[in-house]
Amino acid sequence: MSLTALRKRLVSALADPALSLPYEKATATARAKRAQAVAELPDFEEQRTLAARARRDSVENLQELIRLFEERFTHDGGHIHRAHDTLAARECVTRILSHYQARSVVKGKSMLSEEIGLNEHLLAEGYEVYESDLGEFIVQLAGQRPSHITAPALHLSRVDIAHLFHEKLGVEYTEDPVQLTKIARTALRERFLGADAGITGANFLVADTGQIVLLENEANIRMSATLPRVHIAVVGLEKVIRSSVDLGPLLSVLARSATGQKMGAYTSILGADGSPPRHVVLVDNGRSTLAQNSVRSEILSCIRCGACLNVCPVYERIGGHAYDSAYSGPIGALLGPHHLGTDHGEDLPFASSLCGACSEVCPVKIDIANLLRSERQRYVETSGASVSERFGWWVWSQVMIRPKLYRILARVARGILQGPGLGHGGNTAMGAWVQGRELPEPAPTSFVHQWSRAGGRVSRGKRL
Amino acid sequence: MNLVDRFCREMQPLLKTKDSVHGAVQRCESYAEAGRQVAELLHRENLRRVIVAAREELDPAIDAMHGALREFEASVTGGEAVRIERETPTQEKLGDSSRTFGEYAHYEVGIGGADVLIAESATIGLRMGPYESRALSLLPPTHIVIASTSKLVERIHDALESSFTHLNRKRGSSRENEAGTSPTLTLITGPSRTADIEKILVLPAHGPSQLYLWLVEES
Repeated sequence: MSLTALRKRLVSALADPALSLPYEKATATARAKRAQAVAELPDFEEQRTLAARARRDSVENLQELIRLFEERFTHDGGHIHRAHDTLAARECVTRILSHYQARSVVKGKSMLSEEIGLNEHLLAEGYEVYESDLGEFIVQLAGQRPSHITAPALHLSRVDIAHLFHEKLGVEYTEDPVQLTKIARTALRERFLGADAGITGANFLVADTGQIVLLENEANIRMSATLPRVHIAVVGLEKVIRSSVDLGPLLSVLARSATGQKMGAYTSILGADGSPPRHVVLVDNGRSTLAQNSVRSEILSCIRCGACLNVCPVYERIGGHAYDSAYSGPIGALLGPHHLGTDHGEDLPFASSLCGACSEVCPVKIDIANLLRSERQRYVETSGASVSERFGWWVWSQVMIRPKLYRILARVARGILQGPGLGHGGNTAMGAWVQGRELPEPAPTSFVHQWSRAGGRVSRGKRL
Repeated sequence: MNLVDRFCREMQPLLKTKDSVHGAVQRCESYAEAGRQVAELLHRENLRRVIVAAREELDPAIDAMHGALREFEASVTGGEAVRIERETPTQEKLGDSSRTFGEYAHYEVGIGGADVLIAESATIGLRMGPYESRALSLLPPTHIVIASTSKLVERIHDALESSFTHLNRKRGSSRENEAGTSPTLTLITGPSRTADIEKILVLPAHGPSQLYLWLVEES
C-alpha cells in the first residue's frame, strides 16, 4: 500500500509514549466538560437538529446566500473580495494592506489563515505579523504549527512555555500560568494599540443582516477587529448562514461542544459600521466544488468546534502534528484533501479506527465516520490497493459465496487456532495486525453444529 | 426560578477561578443605590481613573457616585481624588467618543450599561451606538455594568430576536432609505479568560480582568 508517508508519521508518533500525555489529559477534561454542558441544556438535541439544518441549508444554497451576504454587507459600507484559491487570497490581503499603507498586522486565530499560509506569506513580504490568541502567540514564538483546532498550544507544557518566554522574550523565568499569561497580555497590548491592521477569521457570516460573527474567550479578536485602522476577515465561503435566527441554535451548541461553556466570553456580531473599515475576503479553495458533491458536501457544515478531536482515540494517541495538515483530527482528515489539494492528506482517512465517536458528538450531525470510510473507499478505487491485498479480498469473497467451502475451511481454521503457538503472527502483515491483540479462543464446534444437535432446524445455504 | 435569580446564579461561577475572584453581581433597588455601591468599590479598591458611558439612565447613578465619593474623600487626607469622566454621545452609528484608544487604555474603570441581559448564560449584551463606546468595555481592566432588570430575557434566541427583529421585518423591502446599518451586538459572558496553557483556567487574558454587574430592580 502506498501509505508510507502516513505510516512513517504514525510509527514515529507511536514510538514516543510521552507524546500523548498532554493530549490524553486535555481531551479527557474536554469530554467531561462537554458532557456536563450538554446534559444541563434540556433541549440540546433539538438545538442540535436546528443547527444541523441551518448548516445544511448553507451548504445547499451556498451561492445564493453568499450573494445575499455580499449585497447586505456592501450596502452597509463593507467591502467584499472574492478569492478563488490560496494564491488569490494572499494577494487580496496584501492588496488591502497596501491600500491602507499598513505594515504591521495583529491577528486573531483563524484556521483559514493557516490553510492559505497567510502568516508565512505576509512575513515574506516584509509585514510584521503578531498572533494575538495566547495559544497561537506561543506556537508562533516556538516556530511550530498549532496542534488542535481550538487549543493551539495543547502539546506544550508550562515548562516548555516558561523556557520559550524566557529565551524569546527575555523575561524572568516563571512556570506560573497566571504570570505567563500576564507577560503575553503586556506584550500584546502594545501590538493591539500600535498595529495598522487587524486580521481575523469569522465563525459565521449572516446573510440576512450582513454581519460577521466572531467567538472567543480572550478579547484579542475584539481588539483586532476594533483598534487598528482596518479590519480584514478572511473567511471560507461555507461560513455563511441564512439568518440571525440560526445563530440561536448554533450558538447554543458551539461553545458547549468546544469547551463545555454555555457561551464564550465574547461573541461579537459585527455590522459593517465603518469603524474601522471592514473587508471580508471570501475564500473558495475547493469549497464551491465540494458543495455540489451530494455525498460529501456535508463536510462543509463543520463549525470548527473541535469536539471530534476531543473524542477521537487516534488523535489522542498521535497528537495534532502527526496529521501534518492545517486541519487535524477526524474532521481534518476530511477537510484537508478538499481544501489543501489532493496531495495533502489524502491518506488521512486511514488514520482512523472508524469507531464512530466523532459522528456522535458532532453538533451539526456530520456523519464523519461514514465519510471517512467513504473517502477510504474512493482512495482505494483511484489509487488502487496492493496486489496482495486485492488477492486476499478476492480469495475471501470466493469463499464467502460458497457455503460448503466456507464450512470446511472454518473447521480447518478452528483446528489451527486451537493448536499451540499461534499468538503472534508469522509474516509482517499479520504481525502488525496481531500486535496488541490476542487471537480469540474458538468454540469447540460451530454454532450450526450445536444448533442442529440441540434439535434446531438448519437449512443449508446454496452458493450465492 | 425567575430570570434575575437565574442570571445571578449563572454569573457567580464565571467570576471565580480556584485562586482568585474577578468581580461580583449585585442587586439593588435604584440607580442611585447602585451608584453609591460603585463608589464604595472604587474607594475600597483604590480605583482612580474612571470613564463612564453617555447613557442617560446612568445619570442618577453618577450623581450618587459623586456624592458618596465626596464623603469618602472628606474623611481621607492626602492622596488622589477619583477622576470620573463622561463620554459624550457622538456620531449616530459609531459609539466612539473623541478619545483615542490609547487614552482608553489609561483608564482603570469603564462604567457602562446593557441593552439586553441573557439569563441562561449570564450574558451582557451591548448594542453599539452613540451612547457607549466599544473601548469602554474592552480596554480598562475593570468593567462595571449598571443595568435594569427590565433588559432580562431568558435565552440567546430571545436576545437575537429583540436585537434584529426590525431587520427581519424589513427583509425583502427596499433598504435604500435606511440610514441605519445592521447593528453591532457584543455579547459579554464573564471577564476575559484563557486556558491555552495546559488547559488551566486563567483570568484575564487580553480583555477586562474584573467584571461587576449591578442589577437595578426598579418597580
